[in-house]
Amino acid sequence: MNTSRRTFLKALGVGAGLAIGSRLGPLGGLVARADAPVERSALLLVYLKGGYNALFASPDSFMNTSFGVTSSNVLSVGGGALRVDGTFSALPKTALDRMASVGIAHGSSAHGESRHLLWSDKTDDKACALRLAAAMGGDAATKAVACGGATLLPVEGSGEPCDFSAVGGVSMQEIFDMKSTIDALSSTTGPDRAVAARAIAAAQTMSKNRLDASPKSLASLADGMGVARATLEKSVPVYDYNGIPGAYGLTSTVVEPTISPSPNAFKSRIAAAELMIAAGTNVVTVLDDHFQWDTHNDVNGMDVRTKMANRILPPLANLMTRAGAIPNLNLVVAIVGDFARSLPNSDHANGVTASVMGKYVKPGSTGRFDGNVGLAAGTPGPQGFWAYLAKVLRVPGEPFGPNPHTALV
Amino acid sequence: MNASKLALALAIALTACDGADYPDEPRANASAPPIDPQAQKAPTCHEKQKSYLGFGGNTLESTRLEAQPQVDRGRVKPFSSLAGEYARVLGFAPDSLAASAATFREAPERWYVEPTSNAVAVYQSFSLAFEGCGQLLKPWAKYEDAPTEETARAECADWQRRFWSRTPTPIEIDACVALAVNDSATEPLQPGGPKPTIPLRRWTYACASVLTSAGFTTY
Repeated sequence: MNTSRRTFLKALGVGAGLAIGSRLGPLGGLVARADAPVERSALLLVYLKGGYNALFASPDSFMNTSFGVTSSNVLSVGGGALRVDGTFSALPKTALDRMASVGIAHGSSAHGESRHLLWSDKTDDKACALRLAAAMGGDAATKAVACGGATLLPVEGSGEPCDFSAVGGVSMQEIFDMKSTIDALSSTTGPDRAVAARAIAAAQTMSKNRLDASPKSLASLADGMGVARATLEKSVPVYDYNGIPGAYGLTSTVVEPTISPSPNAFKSRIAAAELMIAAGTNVVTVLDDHFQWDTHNDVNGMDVRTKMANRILPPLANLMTRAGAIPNLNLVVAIVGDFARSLPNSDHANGVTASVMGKYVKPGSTGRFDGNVGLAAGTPGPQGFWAYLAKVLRVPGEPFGPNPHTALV
Repeated sequence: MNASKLALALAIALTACDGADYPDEPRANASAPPIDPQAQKAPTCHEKQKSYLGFGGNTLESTRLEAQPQVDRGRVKPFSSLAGEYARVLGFAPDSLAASAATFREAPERWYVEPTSNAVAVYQSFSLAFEGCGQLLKPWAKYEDAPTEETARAECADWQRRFWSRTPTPIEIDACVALAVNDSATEPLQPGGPKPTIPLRRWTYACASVLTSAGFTTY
């Protein structure tokens, strides 16, 4: 697509006020205006299927004893309020200054069961990510996305699949290609967007009987039609969407699914995450491959440190830097996985501590492990984690109940 | 096959959970059957299946998902089928289809992924349909005339039969006709402001809406 910004604005009917009152920032985002809109929040949830070793968020627990933790590979952040693994030094200082370790005592050491517990609201088993996206509100057509897919099915026999059916009218939209996503968001060539929206509305009417007959197996199509139509009916923030893949060193716009063996797989998902955050999405999830993070026998932690340093943090740091140019954005980034790795052989613990960064995060920890990878009695469960995210995202109300991690806000 | 074996085979076929005669959507040329309250209470597979105990002490059907009979049979067509499907109804596959594999989540080699849809895939389906329909209709002089209620009704019904392999309902025809006759008459977001839509594009929008609907994109 080769569309000028002027054409884009006119095509969307955004109006002269925006065209005159704003200009593109150095990274393609808008610079702030005198009548800048109120702050909006977005969550980027990085989920490491397989596990998230406690050496990252609670390294002091293993100092000079296990997982290769020594004073030389530990980093002090948040003005000394928190110590994390040294690989996190790759992240922007602004992120490290607002970082917390959030304990999650879900009590499971099975992949499938822990995923189910972490992602599902205990009150009704619905997806917490969708409930959060719905509670965040806003007028974005796409409120929740999974870059590279939302597949959380257990690889073991235990555990029920997570239920990603729509919550509060918000469905999980999967993103697998940035080019077609950018076209859907902003293309002004080809069909007229307003008429295309009406055409999809007509297609919805023509599809009704078939969709009604398959409320579960065709739910993704029913949800997708509604979101596609809404996307075409709405304007999206002006942003250099086409420049995103190149900014991550990608030559392809493909967003690799979680099972992809491509070395650029995680990077492609993070690039897509920037795209959707810039487009106004509330909750963006990025899953990484189970077989990267189910790190049995990684007794000195070098396998996970290497992957964190080479695979996860470089694109994540890039996103956090670039997203900093988006005005009035409260971006919260959380890293979590099935569970911590147990001792002595880096197997399965029965809880996990998430790393959370954001402007309303108060540095500290509620997830310090003991030397045998156990969380303290009274550590909140998954519901408390989501309640905490809601709090630092400034979500109105308490969609997951009161935040138990009050020391971290 | 002797008589007893034949009787057994018939009995199994009649009691199977997956009947071949499940209702899909109402046909225009068939009167809608009255709702039978008893049919709503048809036994589920769990309720009527025979149980077998396995060597591990677990029943073989213990992990079988429970579901209502005769619902949720529809599935999204996989990307691998789309070239053939477009060729079947249009006579060719849109040029842009080949570059759409990622959008439609084509599974990596040696993997199986149950096809699902999403907003971007729906938009891409519409874009492909718009491209394909534009190419399909362009050679025909009749599409140089703006659609009328009468001409649109005939064309919409014809496309729907061809793309869906079934007769459309009046409501389905009406949706297509309304788009052709009214809702596509003006393109509001063109450079320089709203413009009247040329007839070929109006027909193309209507055709594309039929080709984007679940009658074509699912089975």
